[in-house]
Amino acid sequence: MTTLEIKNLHASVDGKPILQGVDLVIKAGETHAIMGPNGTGKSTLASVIMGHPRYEVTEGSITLDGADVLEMETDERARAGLFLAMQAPQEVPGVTNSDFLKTAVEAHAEERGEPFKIFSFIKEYDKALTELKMDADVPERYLNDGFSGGEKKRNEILQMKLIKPKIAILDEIDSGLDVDALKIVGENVTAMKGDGLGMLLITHYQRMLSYIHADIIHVMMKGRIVKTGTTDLMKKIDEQGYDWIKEELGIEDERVGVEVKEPTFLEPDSLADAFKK
Amino acid sequence: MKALDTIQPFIDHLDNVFVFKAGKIHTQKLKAPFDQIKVGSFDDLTEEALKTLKNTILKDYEGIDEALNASTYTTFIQVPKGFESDEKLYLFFLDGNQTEHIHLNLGSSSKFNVFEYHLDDAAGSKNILETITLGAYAHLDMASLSAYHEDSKVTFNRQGFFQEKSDATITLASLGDETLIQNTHLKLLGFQAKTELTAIALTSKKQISTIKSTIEHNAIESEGELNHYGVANDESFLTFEGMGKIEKGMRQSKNHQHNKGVVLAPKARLDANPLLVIDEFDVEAGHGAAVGRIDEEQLYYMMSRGMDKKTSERLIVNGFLHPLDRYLSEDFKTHVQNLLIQKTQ
Repeated sequence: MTTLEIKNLHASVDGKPILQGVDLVIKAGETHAIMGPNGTGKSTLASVIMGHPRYEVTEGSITLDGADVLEMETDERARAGLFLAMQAPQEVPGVTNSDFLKTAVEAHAEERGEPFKIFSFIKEYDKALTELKMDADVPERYLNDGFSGGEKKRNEILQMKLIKPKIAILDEIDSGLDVDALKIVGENVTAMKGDGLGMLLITHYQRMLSYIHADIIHVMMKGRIVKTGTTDLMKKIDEQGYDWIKEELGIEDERVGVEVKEPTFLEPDSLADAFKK
Repeated sequence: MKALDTIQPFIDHLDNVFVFKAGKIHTQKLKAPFDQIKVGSFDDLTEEALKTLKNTILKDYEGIDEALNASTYTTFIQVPKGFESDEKLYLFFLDGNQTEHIHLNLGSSSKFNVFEYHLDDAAGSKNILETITLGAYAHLDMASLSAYHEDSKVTFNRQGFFQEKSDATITLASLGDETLIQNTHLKLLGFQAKTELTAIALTSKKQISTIKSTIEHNAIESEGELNHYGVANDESFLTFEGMGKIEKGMRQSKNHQHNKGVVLAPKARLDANPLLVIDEFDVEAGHGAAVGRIDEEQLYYMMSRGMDKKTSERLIVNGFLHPLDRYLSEDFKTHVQNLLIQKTQ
């Protein structure tokens, strides 16, 4: 059974520490959700798992079925079974969606020692386009070039459907999606759960979680997972926000890597009441 | 591999094709309506026709007499007035060590698609002069590929003369290993003449290539668009010099220029020097240049889908060739792909 194990993960960007000891285990068939306000390190965790060159791991480990993920290049991580649906997918003019995806699927087939079958690829591509209610001209268009926010997100899920990862991380897949699109994405992602896919959903609203059911909910603050629970935790966050967690844990500012700027001059507005007494 | 062997598989599939080997017609296949097109050397033209040419469309051609005298071989291609076809004429030039003069002349109101491919058997010094003239209302869609030997020194001098309301899309791609100087000077001479010129160049090893493209507006309401796409690898040096020139009084003319380039190796160099020379107030013009390394975020995105760095880079670089796509049949695409792979390794 596929297991992604993250132990005491510390990572920094430009020398600034962001992740400060993340522990997380995701097994095949499980869906985890990481929630938390903006700026707490959620997306950094996703980028570090996938090996974004900007982030430096300073401590801890990530393993996939025992194999050291941190030793792998980004493409090796992908071929090992990791997938990240990105928050802001890149636009690559000049490279068509079909060429891009064909090359990716080919690389995965080669890794598994299987022949790449072009006709089943085309068939699957067409099927996925229909299931995600995407335009038929998407394959010929350039990769995400001129796509709307919603189209880009659907294109991420489309790639995921064809690449068939073992563990998928969906980073804010709900942002930029209207309710109809969210429903379509939710259905497509849920359908993949049946194949033993392990998933990590990253979001700061619980909105997405009404379309994709998560078994385990984590809350991230200050670059760490500070609370883990089930649906009840999600409901409480939905009703009461995050402040009770901050109070419980004695956290004043949940953010990491954000410099709190001391005011360098007196705000003129702060003098408005100065002479009343 | 001999140049002829390289192109032979393509020729078999084509209906309308000429192969010129060292300036002489080697293969000729034409189907209607392309059988109306006249192809011959300047020697085949009447004294009168030659005189007319020199006094009219060739009169602006700098050094035409020298060019004609120096030309070991000349090829004159006359597309008749009113000719119209969506099919393409394929011209293969297996260039020898000499000056070649190619003259492509489109009669008025003709619509003509042409695909040129220049290559050589052995290294040497090649000098190719090409004139392209468009009669009024003529429409040209042209792609010209070149892939020469590593030790060849190649100079292309192309000049274009466009009459009233003529329209030409010209895409030039240098995919070989030669030392290259490519000069293209297109003159918009007639009212509302229009052109889009795209020059693509891939350089590798110690290659030095200079691509100079000029669009000159000598007519009111003329429109020119110039695109340079370049990829420099290894220790090569690629220079783009693009110029948009609008003469005084040529009001309501438009000239735009774009330069886009990628440098693949630390010792490679790519310069883009866009220039606008405008002597008229009532015009629209602009230029831009974006040259640098492959975007790290794009690379990361592609690699995160499982393709290795080399493959991802190649796909991105391949994107620079996209203006060529529509000219290439499937077998040609594979051929161009292979050239690209060699150049970007």
